[in-house]
Amino acid sequence: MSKTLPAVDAVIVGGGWTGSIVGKELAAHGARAVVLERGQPRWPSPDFQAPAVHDELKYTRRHALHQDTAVETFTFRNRTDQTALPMRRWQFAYPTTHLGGAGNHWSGACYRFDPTDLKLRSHYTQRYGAGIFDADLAAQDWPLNYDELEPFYDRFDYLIGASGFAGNLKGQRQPGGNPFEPWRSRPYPNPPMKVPFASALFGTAAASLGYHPYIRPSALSTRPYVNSEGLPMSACVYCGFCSNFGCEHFAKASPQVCILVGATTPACATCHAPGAPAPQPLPRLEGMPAEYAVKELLDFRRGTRPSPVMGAIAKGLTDGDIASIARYYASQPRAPIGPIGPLPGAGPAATLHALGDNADVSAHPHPAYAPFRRTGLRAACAARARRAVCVPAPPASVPPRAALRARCSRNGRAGCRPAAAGPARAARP
Amino acid sequence: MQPAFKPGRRRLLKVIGATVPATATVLAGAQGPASLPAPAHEVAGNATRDADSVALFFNHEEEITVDAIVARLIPADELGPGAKEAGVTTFLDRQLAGAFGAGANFYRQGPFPAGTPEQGYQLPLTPAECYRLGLAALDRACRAQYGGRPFAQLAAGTQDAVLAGLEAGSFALDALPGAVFFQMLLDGTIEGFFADPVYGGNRDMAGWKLVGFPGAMASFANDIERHNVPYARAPVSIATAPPHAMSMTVPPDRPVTFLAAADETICRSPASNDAGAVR
Repeated sequence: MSKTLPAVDAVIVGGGWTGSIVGKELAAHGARAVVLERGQPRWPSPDFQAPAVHDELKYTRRHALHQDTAVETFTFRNRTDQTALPMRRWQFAYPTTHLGGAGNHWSGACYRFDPTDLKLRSHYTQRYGAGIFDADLAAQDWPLNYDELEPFYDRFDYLIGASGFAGNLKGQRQPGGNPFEPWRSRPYPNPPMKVPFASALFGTAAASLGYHPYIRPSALSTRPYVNSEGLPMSACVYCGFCSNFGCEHFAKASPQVCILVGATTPACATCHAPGAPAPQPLPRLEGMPAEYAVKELLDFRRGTRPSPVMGAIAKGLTDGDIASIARYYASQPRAPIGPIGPLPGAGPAATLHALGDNADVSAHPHPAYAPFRRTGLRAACAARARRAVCVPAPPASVPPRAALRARCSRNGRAGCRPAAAGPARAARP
Repeated sequence: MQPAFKPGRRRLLKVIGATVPATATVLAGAQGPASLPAPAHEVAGNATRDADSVALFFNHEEEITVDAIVARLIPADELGPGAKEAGVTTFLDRQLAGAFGAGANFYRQGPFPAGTPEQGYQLPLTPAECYRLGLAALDRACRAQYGGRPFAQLAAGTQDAVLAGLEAGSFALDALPGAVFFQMLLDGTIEGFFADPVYGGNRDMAGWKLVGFPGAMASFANDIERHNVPYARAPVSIATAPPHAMSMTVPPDRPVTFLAAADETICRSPASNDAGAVR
């Protein structure tokens, strides 16, 4: 049965690198875009988590992230006098399926085209004569050259957190880099990968013979990095499962890590805009522990925290969506929230909700806040005590905010924990 | 033309393109030859399966034949157990009973002309059909040629000759091209010997210990720049690897679900702007 969906400005077929980038750019310019993806949604968490993802049979031999040859494959032959036959299982060339496309299973080798690649016909004709091309060979030059493309290469490098050592900065050769690299306007955003033993031996041998070994540019972030979309990447841990595998560490660049979250969270940011001036009308999420957003969204989705608005939204989210959204908000700088007065026309519950769980209500005159005036953060925990998540009341001698900050630290474990025993238990209904 | 098949580990490692790191010998040495089971191929003919093994796909005769085949493709030797001891027959049994055996991810539409070797497998048979036909045909051919004895009851040298004949295409198997069936047996044996033990083969990570592969390790961040140092840790499988080595605190009133694990994963990822990242 057909179903008519609202009209949009653009429909993009395929949710890989290209579709994701084009979709994001369209959305950023005010167009409504829909990306159609034939595969399944796949996110670094939970779909690519170790150790299950470190499975060579599933991903390398059985092609779990590749196009299903039972449905569609292509034919090939090595010479024109042969009959092309279908590749019944992949033997080489791995077209892909699932959200993220080849960005999931690529190895992250990250070279730019050489300037000569873009003027193939004229370059080789100039160098070897017109006879180098057979009459029926359709090779031609691109309609643009490397210098015109460089700003976009540069932008892509800073989108994916490319790692490497520039061999040619604005035309100046850099010792230690690739001596044949085309010019770059900026260094790589991240330092090059660490070198394992075998590569070090090879590099040493090559250098001793007068060659110029260099560390291959990579789309694996080598340190914690915030990309040009404001999205976080983590440092590669050298697990060794790159080609054919999804990256569980948010280190290998993929559309999910580098762009899709930024393209989809504007839906959240309609109400929960990171960095918006306080007070916002709805809870602030930026800088909150990822666990907080995961828990709230799961509660909304399960219905254990009823909400007509968020419940409906959360029911449409997959686990991967939730993980990505939570990770995105956790990565954003936490906005300073000063003492907050009463919001016009809002009662205590509405005010607390509006200010968010990290609100400091110490200046709020409403008597309902009296227990929380010194413990802004604790207000959130207390408000949610009925949902069995709370912290024990700190001893009177400990400054409440400091104690709570220690507990709710982003770098620590859960912001709010059930009390093992004591006052917090007693506080529950 | 490929050279005729000769079994042996050196040949196997060449086939899979593995480079044996120096650490492989360290691991194998640490394991010690004394702990190895005796080479089992001489008893292959009357082999009995583990009492608790349950075949999903193979019938009893097929199990015996497959045991004998994989024991020649990767024999047990002084370096450790072979494919049979590592449970490759169990691996194949499970694979053939499941989606792989039924032809999952396998383009099965005709026509089916014979292709070049480079064009790969071009038969209409699923792997399960291929094994069922091929194993029966192999035993039938052996009985006809070797005085009524099936493959498993032949001497090791004769078995090698049969397998070499299969690979070279000179040992006929009714309608099934012997070389194609041989390649399927060899691929399956290699997969079973080196795939994660969760699939039933590579028992006790015998394949990984042989080549020094560390398995499903989560991270080598601390090891990658330690050059020329033997890697002495035992391998880990998917089923035995700790989910990174992080503790997980779950409130007692909250069910432990994979989502809880997802929480854990997310929260472990360092927030990059806390660590001096550049923007």
